[in-house]
Amino acid sequence: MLTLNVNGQTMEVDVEPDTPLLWVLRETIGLAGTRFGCGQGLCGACTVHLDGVATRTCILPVSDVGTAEITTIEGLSADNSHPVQQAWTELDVPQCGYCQSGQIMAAAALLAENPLPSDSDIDAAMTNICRCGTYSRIRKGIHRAARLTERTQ
Amino acid sequence: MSISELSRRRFLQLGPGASAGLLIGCGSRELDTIASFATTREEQRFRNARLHIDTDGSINFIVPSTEMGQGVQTALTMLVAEEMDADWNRIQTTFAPYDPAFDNPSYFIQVTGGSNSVSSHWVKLRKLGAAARAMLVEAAAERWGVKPGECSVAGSIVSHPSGKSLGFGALAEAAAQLAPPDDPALKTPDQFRLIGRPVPRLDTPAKISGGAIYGIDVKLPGMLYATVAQSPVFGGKVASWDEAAAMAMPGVRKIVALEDGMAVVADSHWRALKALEALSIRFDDGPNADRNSEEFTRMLEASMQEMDKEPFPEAAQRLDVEYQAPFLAHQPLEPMNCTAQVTPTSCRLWVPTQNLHGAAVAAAEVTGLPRQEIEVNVTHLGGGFGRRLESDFVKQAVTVAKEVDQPVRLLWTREEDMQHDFYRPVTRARFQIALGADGTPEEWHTRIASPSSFQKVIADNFPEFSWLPVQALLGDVNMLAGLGTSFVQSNPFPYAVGKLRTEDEIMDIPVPNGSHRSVQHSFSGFCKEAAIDECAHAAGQDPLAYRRRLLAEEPRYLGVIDLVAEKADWGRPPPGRFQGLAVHRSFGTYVAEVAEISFAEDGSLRIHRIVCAVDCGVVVNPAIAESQVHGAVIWGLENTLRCEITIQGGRVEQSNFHDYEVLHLHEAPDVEVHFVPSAEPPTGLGEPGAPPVAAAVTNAIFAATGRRIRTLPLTRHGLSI
Ligand code: FES
Ligand code: FES
Repeated sequence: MLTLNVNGQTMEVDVEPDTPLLWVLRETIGLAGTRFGCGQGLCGACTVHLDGVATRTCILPVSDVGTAEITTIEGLSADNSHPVQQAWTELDVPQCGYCQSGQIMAAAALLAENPLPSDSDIDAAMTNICRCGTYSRIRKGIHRAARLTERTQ
Repeated sequence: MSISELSRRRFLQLGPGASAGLLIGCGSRELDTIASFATTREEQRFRNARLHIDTDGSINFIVPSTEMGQGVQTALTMLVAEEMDADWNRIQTTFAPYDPAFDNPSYFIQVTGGSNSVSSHWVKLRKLGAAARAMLVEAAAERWGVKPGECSVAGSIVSHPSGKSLGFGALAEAAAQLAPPDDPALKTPDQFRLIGRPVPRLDTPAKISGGAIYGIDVKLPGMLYATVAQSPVFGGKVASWDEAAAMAMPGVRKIVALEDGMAVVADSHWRALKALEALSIRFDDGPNADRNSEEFTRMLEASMQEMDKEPFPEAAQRLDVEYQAPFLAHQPLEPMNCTAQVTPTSCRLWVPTQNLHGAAVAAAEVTGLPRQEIEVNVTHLGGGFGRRLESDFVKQAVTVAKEVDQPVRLLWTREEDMQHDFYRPVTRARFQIALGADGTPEEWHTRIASPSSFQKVIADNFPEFSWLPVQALLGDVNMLAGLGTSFVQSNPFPYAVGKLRTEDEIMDIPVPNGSHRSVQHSFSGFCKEAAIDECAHAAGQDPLAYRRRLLAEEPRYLGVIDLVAEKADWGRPPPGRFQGLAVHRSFGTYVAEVAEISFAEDGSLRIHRIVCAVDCGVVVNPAIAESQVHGAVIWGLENTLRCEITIQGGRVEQSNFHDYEVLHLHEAPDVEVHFVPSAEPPTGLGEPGAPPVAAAVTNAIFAATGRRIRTLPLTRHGLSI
């Protein structure tokens, strides 16, 4: 049994210790919003926050998570009210949407660390793949979310 | 949407209001015939209904096309809501299950592809909405004792100048008793309230909360998890495996042999993957083990030798040039998957597919059940791009589900996906062009060679006709799309050249191929537009003016060329920058693109912006339309720059995103999309943005360096961004 802290809740999971956190979240815990794209840490579809840091979970053995606080897309907000989600709504960022949980988690982590990122900050931080080519709306969305956050502070 | 909404139960019971209200649909095979199903039995009513108006005023529209990001869920709903004058906020949508009622009106099978969802439903779905509106109005007029023509409708409310008004919900039951009109009148464009506006996408909220259900998210009680390994060499077979070792792994339930591989079924995906490793499969590579990309290129080059050795000896100038583009993979971000539950008398599927018909055909073949008995439920698709027109993974899921008592979700790894795609085929073309004294092409001969999937498409989707050697008899009618003038090609070669002659050869190359976003146009848009650029330069004329002259009789081509010239400031690039132009029509839509590039000090290529002008007729939703063209440009660009599938030892060399390098955010240039205002019926949008990109970029490279790029990708020429 391993104890995990997911979206503010403590849970026990009974899985092999080498199981990537991604599959524990999706199949054991039932939080399917974190998605599988490549399994090799290359695409970012599986991004969640570990203690606030954007982390790719497809290559992260669950036994390495320890006591870190895990936040998944489901834990980002209950009602799409996180500034990144608000900006994504305004701009209708998703196309197929499959990459977007990961994109949103990566963007939220970037903004938490750097509330007013420049284009080059965004270039450096946003390495997630989108096969639909939503990159320009993602960039605009991050700038918009930064302004939304500024306004509410 | 929850999982339960995907089940048959949900499809049959629409909630408490299911037995009341107005339920209308289109008769299965009779296009544009609207019939009321209000009196048929419950199941029939739902299965054929496209639109349900509940007594509480909520509206459920069954979306006949699958949503893979192209925005049809929103766009098609807009068509219906427009003519209904419905309250947009009261509309819910459901994805259509497999049923002939939802066949693609142009293809007569239930498939989403060819960028035709909006164009093929343009009249049909508006008539559906108009019929509903007419019945609701008639019900109101009857109740009030007034003439229907005196009533107006807005926001799901029918009103009369006397001050009376009633909502759709209050009228639904009375309307259901009325006969639907045969041919309800449609609005004229000036009456549109929704069409033409950037209405927010219906799927955004679920796609940003993590709640949208893709195929990979389907979870059924007792469900097991399967994964597969297929022979890396095309045409190879399984030689041996260690069943005992795999069965000894935790959670493993079953090992199942597939046509060219093995599947492992376990109680979790990770356990299935680990057991697959333990299975230690050895493959017999079969007859293709020494085939490779270089050899395929030599075959294509040899085919080109069939043309004249010394063409047009009399011509003032002549061009004799060859173009080639490589195999490309689709790689939608959601790997191939399908969930299946099979009993001796039933087969249920939950699958992200563009092709519900093909999925049912595949399942029928494996189970022996009649096709109509196969239940196919479609989820959101994590990208399609043509890959999900194929049903190979459906066949595997059903094969595996037959062997166990529980439902099974079969999921591929990215590596399987990369190595077992149906690739855009490697294609080569040769142009022999004679230019007259004024630089006009007097003769234009094209030869093209590539493998074809035509026969396979027929075998997969119409097995009853698979005995017909269609490909042998007709060739591949699509191979010359954009390059020829045959009557079956809806997008003919556009330039006014003296004499056009085309020939083609289907090559026997043992690598699976299929429809890849924009299909043959991804190549014809490149080679035709680069070749015409070569002609313009040979003639010493501006590439834009040269094209305009040869397209003088083509007003819609001129429209996009002139618009892109204006928006890109053609001929006046900023200092140090260079422009390239390409224009191509595909799926009925005209697209002109200008690439603006420069070279950095270190010799690397900079793509500053791609400006697009698009004539797709009426733009139903400009925000979605922009995203489709924009996305297609990014797609076309990565394939221009560096994407390539290569074959060595009969197998694909690439395996994941580290060696199949798709475009990332920091590399995506500015893309501007402008639409030509039009009242023509809408044409395709998901694909037409892609074909011009490669030539726009390579023509700009020529403008900058005098170097003519005739083979893709650019990395083959030492060029990278
Ligand atoms: S699935 Fe984890 S990075 Fe791609
Ligand atoms: S929206 Fe489809 S992969 Fe990003």
